[in-house]
Amino acid sequence: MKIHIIQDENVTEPEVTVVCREISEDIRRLLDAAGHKENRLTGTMDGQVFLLRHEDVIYIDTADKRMFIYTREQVYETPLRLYELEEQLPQADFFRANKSCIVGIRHIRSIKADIDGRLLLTMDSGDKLWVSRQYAADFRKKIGM
Amino acid sequence: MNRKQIIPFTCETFVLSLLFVSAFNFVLRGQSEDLRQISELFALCGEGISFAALGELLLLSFLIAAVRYLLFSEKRFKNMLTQTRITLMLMSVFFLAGICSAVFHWFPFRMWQAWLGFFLSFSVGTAVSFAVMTIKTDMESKQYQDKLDMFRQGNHEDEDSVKGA
Repeated sequence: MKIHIIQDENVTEPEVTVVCREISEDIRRLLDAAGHKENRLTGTMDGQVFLLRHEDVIYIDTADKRMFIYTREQVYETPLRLYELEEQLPQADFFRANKSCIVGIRHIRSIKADIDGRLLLTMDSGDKLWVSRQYAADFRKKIGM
Repeated sequence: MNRKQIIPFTCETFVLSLLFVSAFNFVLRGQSEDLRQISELFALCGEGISFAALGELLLLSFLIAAVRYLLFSEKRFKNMLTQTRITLMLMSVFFLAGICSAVFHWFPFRMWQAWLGFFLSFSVGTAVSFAVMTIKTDMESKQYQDKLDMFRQGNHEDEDSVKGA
């Protein structure tokens, strides 16, 4: 991969332009790394790459071994693994709800406790997600319970 | 619960039902002639359980296992609360046991006192356990909701202070 760096004193905000035949996994990771410092994740939808602000992410879930980022309006795909996303997201605002899902705490609308120790979350989007017993303790700690 | 667990659960329920019927047979063996009149389960006058009754209990056990598989399968009722599943399970057991009692003459249908006792014990037991479950989980849910609201409020205050700075 060729990298050109142009320094210009008149530039107020750094700009990255990627010229490529197709968006490979390497490029996506590069974009993710660039977005990480800007508090953003990259997600793909209809072949286009989008930068998503952390606060817009409601939850991230796995389906058929593929990872999807859910925002209020759209669903984006990401090539990153769950643990990689977990590292990029702010720990205070996100938590692992079960083996396949990361949840944004700010986007939880309501919580229903179940008798077996699990928690049923209703998200701002109306989606329902389970917090398994294994991860419920971490969630309790995060919300100060 | 997966499909493979239906057979072990059928066996489990069957053994439990046999233990119950055997215990009743043992305790009430002095009134065996009366029991024979009342229920087919005690057709051998307290001397044991007939082959027919064994087959009927096995059928009921299988039906209960099938309902349990249906209700506790994560694929079918993914977002159902456990307490709702348990309540539906209890109602199904009640319903299935009622049907089996009617079909196999396990229960004295014309004796209203027996019906009343059956209904009272079942409904009071279910209502009390359901009320306890509901109160406990509602209190927990409220605690969670309060803490979540506090967390969100704290976050908003942080955001406001950052904006203000």
